[in-house]
Amino acid sequence: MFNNAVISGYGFIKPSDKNNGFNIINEEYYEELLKGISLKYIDKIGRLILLAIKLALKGKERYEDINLILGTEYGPLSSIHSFDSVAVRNGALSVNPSLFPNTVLNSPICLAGIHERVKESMDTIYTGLNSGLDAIGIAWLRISSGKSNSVIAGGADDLGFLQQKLYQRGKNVSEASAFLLLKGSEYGNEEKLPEIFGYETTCFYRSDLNVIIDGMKQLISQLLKNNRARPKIYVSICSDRTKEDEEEIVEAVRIYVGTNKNEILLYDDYLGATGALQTIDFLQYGGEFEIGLVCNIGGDRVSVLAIKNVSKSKHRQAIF
Amino acid sequence: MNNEKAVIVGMGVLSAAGADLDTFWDTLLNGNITYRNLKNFDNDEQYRIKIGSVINDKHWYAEIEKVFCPDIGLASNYAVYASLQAVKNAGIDLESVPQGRAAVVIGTTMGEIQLEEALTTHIYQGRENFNVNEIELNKKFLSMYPTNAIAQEVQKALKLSGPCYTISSACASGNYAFSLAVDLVMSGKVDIAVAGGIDVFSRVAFTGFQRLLALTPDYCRPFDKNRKGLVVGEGGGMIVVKRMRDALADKNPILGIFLGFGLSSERYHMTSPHPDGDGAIRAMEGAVKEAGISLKDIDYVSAHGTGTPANDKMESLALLKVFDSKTPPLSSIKSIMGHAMGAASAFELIACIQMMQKNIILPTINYSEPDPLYDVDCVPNKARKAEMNCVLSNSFAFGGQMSSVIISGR
Repeated sequence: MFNNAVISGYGFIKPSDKNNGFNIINEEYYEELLKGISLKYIDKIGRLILLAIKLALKGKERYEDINLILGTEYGPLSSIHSFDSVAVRNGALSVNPSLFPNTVLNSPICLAGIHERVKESMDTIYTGLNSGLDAIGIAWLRISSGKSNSVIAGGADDLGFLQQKLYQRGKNVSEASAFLLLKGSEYGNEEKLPEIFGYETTCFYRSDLNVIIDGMKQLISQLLKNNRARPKIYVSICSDRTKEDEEEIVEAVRIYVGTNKNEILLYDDYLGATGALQTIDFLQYGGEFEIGLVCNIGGDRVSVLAIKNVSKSKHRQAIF
Repeated sequence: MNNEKAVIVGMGVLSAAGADLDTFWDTLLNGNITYRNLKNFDNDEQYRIKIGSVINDKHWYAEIEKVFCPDIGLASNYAVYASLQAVKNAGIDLESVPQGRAAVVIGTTMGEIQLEEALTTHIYQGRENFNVNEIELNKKFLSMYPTNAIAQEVQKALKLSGPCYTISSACASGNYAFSLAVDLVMSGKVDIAVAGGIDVFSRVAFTGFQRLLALTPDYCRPFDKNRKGLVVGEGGGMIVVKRMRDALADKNPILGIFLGFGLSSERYHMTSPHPDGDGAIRAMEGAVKEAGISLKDIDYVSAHGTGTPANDKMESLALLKVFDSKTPPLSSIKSIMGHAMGAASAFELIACIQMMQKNIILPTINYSEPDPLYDVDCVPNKARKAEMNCVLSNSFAFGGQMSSVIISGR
C-alpha cells in the first residue's frame, strides 16, 4: 500500500494571449508540436489532450501499467454538435461514420490513449469546473490504495460554439489542457519530487456561501490534520462564484490557515483544465512553500488537493 | 463470507423492460422483446432502420414530476428515478448517513444528449443562409446540459453529501461506475455509494450506428450465425453499495458481493474490437485475479453480446481462450431489450443478481443457427434452471474500454 503519489512530470497548453471573453488556442501552434502524427480523425480536445500527455511523458521512462484519467467539463461537445448538425442539415445518411466515435463522452481520452498505446484503464470524469482536480484526486486515490502504480491525470476542454453558449459563469475563460504524471512511492522519491498527500471532495447539495466556506474549511482541516502546527501554505482557489463571494472565500481561508507567510490567490477559469493548471503553477512557482492546497468550487461542489514540497528548491521547474 | 468486500444492498431499474425489478425480471424471463418501430423516424427516409428500444411506460414520470422533473434533463430524471427505487429496495434511511459520507457515481455514454439534439434541431432545421450567432438558444436547455448535472441531481434528490461523479466509459460506463463506487467505499472515503449507468435514447447514437452499419433491421441475435447488429436502447440501472461488515451490522439485505473487477484498454481502434480479444481477455483475467477465485468457480457469464458480427466473434474467442475452450453457460439480455448504452452494464449486473436469486439463467433469444467459428452455450431461446453462486459480467465499449466484473450471491 502506497501512501503518497509523487509528481514526476507535467505538460500543458493554454492560450498565449488572454483577452476579455473566450480565449482560444492557436491551432497552428499545437499542430506544429504534433507534427508527424495523423490528426485526421482526432478532434480539437483530443489533440490538446494528446499534446499535454506527450509533454508530461517527455524524457520519462514508460511504465506498462499506466492509467489515464481525464477531467473535462464539456468533453467532445464540439464533435457531437458538428456531427449532429450534419445529420439535421443534410440528413442522417450524410454523416461521416468515421467521426461518430468522437461523439461519445469518453472519446477524447480514448483517442489519446489509443495513440499512446495505453493498455490499462482510462477514465473520464465530468464534475464541471472541478473536473481536472477531481481526475488528479482519483489518480491519487488509485495510487494510495495500491490499485495503480502510475497514472497520467489532468483536465482539458476546448471552447466551441455550444460551449461558449453554455458557459454561464460570466468570467474571462480559456480553453486548455494540462496533465500530471503521478507515480506510487514504491518507485522512491530520491529526486525529492513533490508529493500529493491528500484529496477531499464533497457536494453539499446546497450552494449557500456559508455552507461552501464551512465545507471548504472542513476539507482543509481533514487534509492538514497530520501536518505540523504551522506549515507555510500556498492556497490556489478557483470558483464559479461572484467576485464578492470570492473575496469572502479568500478572507475566510486566510483567517483559517493564518496569514503568517502564507499565500492565497484566486486563479483564472480554464474549465476542466483549471485544477491541473493550478497544480502545475504551484510546482513551478511554489517552491518556497511546504504545502500547496489547490481548491475548486463549482456550484455546491468543493474539491481540495494537497501537495507537499519535499525539496526546498525555489526553482522547481528545474527538476522537470 | 468475506467481510472485507463491498456488497450490493439495493437495486433499481427504469427500462424498456420495466420500471420495477419484478416487471424487469418477468420481461426478460419470458423473452418479451421490447424493441419496435420508432414513430419519430417513421417518415424520415434518411433512416433505413427504424427499430429501437425505448421506455413507453410513463408511470414513473408522474411519480417524480412534482419534485424535479421540469427543471432537469431526461437522463437526470432517469437517474433520479432508478436511484430512488434502489434506495427503497435497500430499505435504508439515508438521513442516518453522516454528512459527507455518501457517494454518487453515475456512468453515461451520451449524457443529456437530447438537449444538444433539441438545440441543434432548433438551430438548423428549416433554415438556410443564416448567421448561427444570431439565433437565440433556450437558456433552460443550456443550463441543463452539463454532464456533471446527472450525478448531482441524484445527490440532491436523495439529500446526500459526499463525493459525486458523473463518468463516461461509453457502453462500459456502468461497470466503471461500480468500480469507482467500490473503491470509494472500500478505501473508507464513504460509508455508502449509489452507483449505476444511465442513458437516454439518442438520435446521435442512432444515426452513428446506422452509418457504421451496426444496426439490425429486425431482431437482435447475439452469437447466431446470421446476426446482423444491435438495437439502440435506453434507461437507467442503479445500485446501493456498502461494506460487507456495515451491511451485516445494519441488517441490510445482501443481494450480491463484488468479488473483483478487470478494467483494460485495447489500444487498438475507436470502434473495432481487437481481433484477438486482447482487451477482453485481460479484463476477464484481471477480474478473476482480483476475485481470487478459480475459473471453475464461475457458473455463468453475462455476455456483452451486442449481436454485431465483430463483437460476438471477438467475445466468443476471448471467452474460449480464457476458459480453455470450455465456457460456462452465457447469455445476452440485449437480445430481448436492446443495448441501453451506458445503462447496459448496470442492467446486466442487476439481471445477474436476479438470476442468482432465482437460480434461473435468462436466455439469448432469436437464436436459430450456431456460428461455426465458435462453440459456446448461449442458453438459446429458453430460460434454464441452474444453481449459480458466482457470475462474470462483461461490458465492452467504444475506445476499446473493456470491463469485467465478478459477483457472487450470499
